[in-house]
Amino acid sequence: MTTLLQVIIYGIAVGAVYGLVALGFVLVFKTCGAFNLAQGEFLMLFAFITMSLTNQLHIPFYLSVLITAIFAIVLGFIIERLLLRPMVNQPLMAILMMTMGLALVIKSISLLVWSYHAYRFPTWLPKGELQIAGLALSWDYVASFLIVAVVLIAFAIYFRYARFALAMRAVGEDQMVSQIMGIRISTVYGTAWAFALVVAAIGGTVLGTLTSVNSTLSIFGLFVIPVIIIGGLTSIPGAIVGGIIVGITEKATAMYLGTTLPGFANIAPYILLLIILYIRPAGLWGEKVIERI
Amino acid sequence: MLTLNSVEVRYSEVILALKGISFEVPEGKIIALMGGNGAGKTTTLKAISGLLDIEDGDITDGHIDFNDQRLNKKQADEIVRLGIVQIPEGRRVLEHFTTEENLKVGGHTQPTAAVKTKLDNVYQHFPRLKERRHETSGYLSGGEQQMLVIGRALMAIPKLMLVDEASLGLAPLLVEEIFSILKNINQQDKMAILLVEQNVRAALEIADHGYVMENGKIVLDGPAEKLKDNEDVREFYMGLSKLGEKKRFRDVKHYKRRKRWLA
Repeated sequence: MTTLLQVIIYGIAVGAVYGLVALGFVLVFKTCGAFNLAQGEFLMLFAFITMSLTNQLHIPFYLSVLITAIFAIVLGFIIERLLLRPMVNQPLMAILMMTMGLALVIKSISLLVWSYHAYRFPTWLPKGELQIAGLALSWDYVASFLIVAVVLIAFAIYFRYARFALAMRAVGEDQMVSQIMGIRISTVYGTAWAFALVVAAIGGTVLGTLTSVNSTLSIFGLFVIPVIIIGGLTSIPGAIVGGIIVGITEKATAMYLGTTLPGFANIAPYILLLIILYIRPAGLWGEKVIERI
Repeated sequence: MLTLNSVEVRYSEVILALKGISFEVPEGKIIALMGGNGAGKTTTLKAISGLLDIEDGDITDGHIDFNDQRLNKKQADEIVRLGIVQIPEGRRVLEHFTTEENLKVGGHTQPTAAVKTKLDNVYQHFPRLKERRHETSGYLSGGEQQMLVIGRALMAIPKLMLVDEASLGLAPLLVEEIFSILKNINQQDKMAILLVEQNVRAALEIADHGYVMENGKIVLDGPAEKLKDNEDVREFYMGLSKLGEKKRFRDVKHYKRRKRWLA
C-alpha cells in the first residue's frame, strides 16, 4: 500500500538520478557553453555497454561498471579534442547542432548493435524492502538513492575544495581572463565532458536497473531538459533540486493519475516547467541576463 | 628580454591591425607604449600573450622572441608559464568570485605552497585587498579592482608584466597611487613592465623608455625624458603648446603644426 510519503521518497530517489545526470549537463553548459542534446543518448549507450560486458562477456558486474566509467572519461576527452576544439569560435547554435548530430549517431549505432530488445542487468541491488518508520520502501530505490547521494557529495566536496575546480569555475565565468592566468581551456573542457559522461554512465546503470536496459532509455535525456530549465541553466544546486522536483512530480502523477490518464507522467514535468517558467522565467536558481539587442 | 621584430597582425585575414612594428623590452625596465584609440596597442599585447586566436587574429609576419623562445605559435597558457602575464584593460575581475578566490586563480600555474606565500606577499603590497579578502569582487571600487588585477598578475610570479591601460576610469589620485605601486614593484622585484597607456603624462613619469604608436605603426621612440620634452608629443598627446602664446581661435581650428613624424 503506497502512501503519499512513499511516493515522495521514490520521487526523491529517481529525482536524485535525474539531478545527477542534469548536473553533468549543467557543468558542460557552464564551462564550455555547449548545450549537450546527446546526454540521454550517452546514458543509454553506457547502460548498453555495461550490460553487454556483464551479460555477454561475463565480466563481473562491478568490474563492467568500472570499465564503462573509465571508457566514459576517455570518451569525454576524445569528444573535446575531436568535436569541440575545431568549433572554438563558432556560434553556440552550431555546437548545439553538433551535439544533436552526435545524439543521432549514438542512437543509430546502438540500434544496430543492440536492436530493440529489452535487457536486464543481473540483480545487483538488494531485494526486498527496507522497513523503516512504519514504511516499507523497496530496496532498489533506496540503494539507488544512496549511490547517487554518495556521488553528489563527492562532487560537492571536490568542487568546493579542489584547485582545479576553481579553474573550471573561472573558465565558466570569463574565458579570456582564465587564459591570461595560465589555465589551459582544452583541459578544462575535456574534464567537464568527462564528468558529464561519467555521470551519464552511472545514471544509465541505475535507471536501467530500475526500469530496463533498452533503446528507450535515451528518453531520460528529454527529461533532463525540464530539470535543468526549472533549476536554472547554469546552477549546480538548481540541477539537483530540479531533479528532485521533477522526480516527485513524475512519481506523483503516475500514482494518482496513472489510471485516468496513462502516460501523463511523461508530460507532467513539462507542464510543471511551463508553470514555473511563467512565474520565474530564469528558472528557480537561474541568473537573469539582460542583454541589449 | 622581449623583442618584437617587424610584427604584422591581421584580423580575419584581411584587417591589417599591426603594420610591422619592432621594439624591445630590456630586463628590469619599464617601457611605455602610448597612442590614441585604435592605434594597435591592445592588439600588440594580445599578440605577445597569444590571445589573438579567440578573435580570429593571426601574426602574419615577423616574430616575437622572449629570452630565446619564439612566441608566435605558442598557446596562451604556455606563454604565462614562461613568465609573461597580462593585466587586461577594463579591470576584468572574476565578478562572482571573492577577492581571495580571484588571487588564488591567479596562482593557478604555481605549486600550492608557493600560492600561500605569494598570497601573503600580495596582501603586503595591497593592505586594502586584505581587508576585503572575502568580499565578492564585483562589488569592489574601481581602484580596488585595479589593485586586485595587479595582485592577481603578481600571483603568477611574472618576469614581464603587460599592463593595459591601468589608468582607465580612475580618479587622478588613484592613478598616481597605482602607478607608484607599479614603479615599486618594478624596483623591488626587478620586474620588467610593458605599460600601454593613453595617459601619456602618467606613463612617462615612471617609464624608462617610450614608444608612440599610430595606426598600427611605431612613429616615435626615445628615452622618457626626451619624449616628455618632444614638441610633437607635447602638442598632440599632452595638450601642452608653447607657453605664453595667445591662442587665436583660428589657430586652434586648424592644426598649424604638422606632425614631424612619418605615419
